Amino acid sequence: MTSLILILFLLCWRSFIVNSQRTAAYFSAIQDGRALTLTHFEITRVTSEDMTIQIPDGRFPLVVSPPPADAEVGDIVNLKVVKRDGVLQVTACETRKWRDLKIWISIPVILAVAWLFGRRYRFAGKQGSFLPQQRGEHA
Amino acid sequence: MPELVTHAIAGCLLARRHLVLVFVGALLPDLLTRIPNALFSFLKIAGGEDWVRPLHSPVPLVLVALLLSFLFDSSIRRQVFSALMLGIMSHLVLDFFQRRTPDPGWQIVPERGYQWLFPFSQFDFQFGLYGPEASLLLLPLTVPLLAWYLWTCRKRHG
Repeated sequence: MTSLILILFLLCWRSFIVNSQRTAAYFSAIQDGRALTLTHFEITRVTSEDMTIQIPDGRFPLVVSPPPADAEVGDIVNLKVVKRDGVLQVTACETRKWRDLKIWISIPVILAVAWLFGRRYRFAGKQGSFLPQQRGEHA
Repeated sequence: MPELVTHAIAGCLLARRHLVLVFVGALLPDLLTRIPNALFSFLKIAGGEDWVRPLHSPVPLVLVALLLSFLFDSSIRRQVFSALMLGIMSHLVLDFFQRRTPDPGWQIVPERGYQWLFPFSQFDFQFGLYGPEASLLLLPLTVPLLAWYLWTCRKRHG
């Protein structure tokens, strides 16, 4: 079990190292006009002419134009861009307006599954492991 | 990702035994990544997302399922692992067919994809059949269908 936890930690650490470099390289490619797609960006500023988007954790802010008609600060967008005259022009944009609802709808599911798990399995302290509940016995 | 109701439904349709554990498996990839991601975004911890991203990839998820199965009694450990993996696979298949860019069809997602081949390769790809929120719009159809399915199953098996 300890080995598994260690392997998982090493995988996560490797992901952090590799992805930090990869993401930085990808964003320099976007700024040079060599890359086209941007997924899961948050709008942090919007005017009638352009908008600023960035990864939700605050990295890699980019100014693109034009903003979609219904764009609002806080929206998550997937977009395609092309660089023309030194400006990143949006050629396709998908605003994920329903994303928040998706998250709220998921919360009762998590609670329901946790409740079902509690009904179906019990933790046996002696063995230190979960066991199926006996018939008629509930947590 | 489709929302967790659809993931749970997919798991439910596949499960034959240990339904609850298939549910847990079906929710696991999003629980392990979206909750920490939301926290990292809220706290503005740059790069935090890169730490947990592999927990939505097949190989690390096999290890997570293995790890969780060790929490169960040895008599049911193998079944627990299988049930968790069934749920995890149903989740990953649904996510594979989801669009990540505005265009449908075959997509190479060079940045911030699901890392299907991690840790062996960083090549990221998926086949976009439906939008990220499409499953939400279909819920009024999928939830009654599930209820009907469960009702007929119950009737068949007494």
